Amino acid sequence: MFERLLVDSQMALPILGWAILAILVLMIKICTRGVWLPLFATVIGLIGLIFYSATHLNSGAQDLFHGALKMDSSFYLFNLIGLGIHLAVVLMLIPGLERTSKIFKVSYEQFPELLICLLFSGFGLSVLIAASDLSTLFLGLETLSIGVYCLCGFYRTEIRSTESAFKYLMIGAFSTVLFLYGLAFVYGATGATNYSQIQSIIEQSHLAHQPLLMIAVAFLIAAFAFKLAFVPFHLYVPDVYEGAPTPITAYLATVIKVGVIAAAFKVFWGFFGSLADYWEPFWMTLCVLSILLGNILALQQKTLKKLLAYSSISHSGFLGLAMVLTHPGVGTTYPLMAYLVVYSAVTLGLFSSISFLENREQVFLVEDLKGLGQKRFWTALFIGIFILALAGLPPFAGFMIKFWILEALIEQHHIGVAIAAICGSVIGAAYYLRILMLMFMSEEQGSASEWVVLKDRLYVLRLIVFLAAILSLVGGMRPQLYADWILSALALK
Amino acid sequence: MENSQIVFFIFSALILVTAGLVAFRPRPVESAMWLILNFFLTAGLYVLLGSHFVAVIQVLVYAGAIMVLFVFVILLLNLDPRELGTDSSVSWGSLILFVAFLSFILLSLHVTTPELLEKMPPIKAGSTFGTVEALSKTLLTDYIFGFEMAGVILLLAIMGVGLLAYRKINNPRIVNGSERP
Repeated sequence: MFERLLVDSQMALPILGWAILAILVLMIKICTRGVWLPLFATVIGLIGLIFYSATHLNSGAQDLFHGALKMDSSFYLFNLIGLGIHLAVVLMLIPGLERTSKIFKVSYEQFPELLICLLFSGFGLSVLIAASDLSTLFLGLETLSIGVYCLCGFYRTEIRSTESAFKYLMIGAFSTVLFLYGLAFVYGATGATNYSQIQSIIEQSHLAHQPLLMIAVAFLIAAFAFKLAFVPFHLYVPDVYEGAPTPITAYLATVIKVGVIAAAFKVFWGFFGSLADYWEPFWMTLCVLSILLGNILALQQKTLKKLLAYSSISHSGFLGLAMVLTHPGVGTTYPLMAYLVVYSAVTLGLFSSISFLENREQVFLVEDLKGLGQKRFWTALFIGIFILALAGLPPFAGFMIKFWILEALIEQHHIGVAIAAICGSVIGAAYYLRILMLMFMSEEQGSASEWVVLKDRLYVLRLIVFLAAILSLVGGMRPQLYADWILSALALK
Repeated sequence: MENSQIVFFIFSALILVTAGLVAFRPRPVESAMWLILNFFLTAGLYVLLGSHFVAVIQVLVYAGAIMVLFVFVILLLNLDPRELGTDSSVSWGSLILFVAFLSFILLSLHVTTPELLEKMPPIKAGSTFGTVEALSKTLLTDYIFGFEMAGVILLLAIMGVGLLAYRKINNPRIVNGSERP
């Protein structure tokens, strides 16, 4: 009994490592003053975990803790993406330490607490990805979300940040209720909490038409749609993204999507696979609505971060489509993984550039970018690369990932959905290109070129921007390079 | 009549009485106190059914945590007794609606309960299902990961409160969250 527990804990090190690291940072914070030691421990720990996960990529599927967790090859890949994003976000937060304005001074005294919340969220993320039991699924999602609520309100003396945290907490609590209600219906209909048990019960006893399961599917779709910000459930996203600290906005736009899409993938194709006829049309409709309406609403935005929020809504639509396309037996998980990797990298790069330029005392308008190309050519150039990659124009990786999804859509005979997705992307190109026009073709000077930029002494922001730009360029020109890596990681199940 | 049945009827009668007192006492604090008694009696019913754990949780969560919240809200609202009014009359419309709704629920329970009882698996004599011992055994073996994970959530929540609500104590100008004029 106890030996089994020890062996399981050892196997689950990629998951438990997050919590161990968080508690270690907490200990350091209690024992010492200052922010640099916890920061150093966090960065080293994350790099160590990345190496550990990367070397154990092909170690086969295992059931741990009496079926509470299941670690398979897709888990290792999702976890690796999550670790990478966390490392990038921690690095993005560092230059803020040297800011001297009041908001930053008051908030950054608590930088170690921020790191601990970030690491615990990461723990929630990895549990969410690995969950193979309804109880761990719920606990993972909650740990991820509670950490993020706190992170959003990090600049607690600032009204925008507090507003963002409060709105997210309220909406998050509501979506949690929906989620829990859906899980309760699953348990009520099948009497089991383990994914594989639920699946076999649904398939053996022909429960597929039972109204209880229909209700469960409806509630779970709504809850996932809230977390992923699909269109009828997206109303909180612009305000939350606008108010949160910029590195945390990048975190919201990437980590939440990685975790929730991985959980949705395991729930819907894991034990709702035989109900696909019921949930697939609803899910697809939500995705198409987010792609179309997200892009249309982004056209009217005047604030840069709200514009990017709407753009992230349309991207989560694409992610949702990629999730459906992983239909076991018909499709592959490849488009989903590629989309997550490239989208996360580009988003992190773009938000690092923004946090480099940003002046936190005022709202960053799109107009402020006017004439940036003349004043700060390199920053403008990299922002241009990321914008083009998000828009999905050919020489960049953003094109390839959309292309793979569209290809798979047509292969699986969803031609109408593919056409709608293409229309949405074309509409989206309009506002992405407007940003480029403002930066490079405008004669006037916007205020962004006069703001004092962050002091990036350790070159961390430039490093992230540079790596992300390389990834989006390489991914566009030689997609085979990382395609092979992802495929080899997924091949050995 | 068995002993347990007599106890059951005493408890249910007291629950009805205290629930009525909660609804009809004019002062909110008094209602809240009756509600505590109501929670304890409900916990007694759970004990009679053999689910000790739910009884303990009922007392801890409802009588402990939720009541504190209620009393806190009453404190914050700081109601003037004159505003509450002296007459404790309830409007006829809402009373009729309430009675109709209650009788509907009771009627549907009366119709469906026998059928549901047949479907229930028979409870063996001496079964430990629902006791604290059986529950803790399950929690610490099959659901050990979820149990520990809940601990992590609590730690994270404490950290979050520390992050959002911390104020420097040694700054004499800040008192109760606002700067002194």
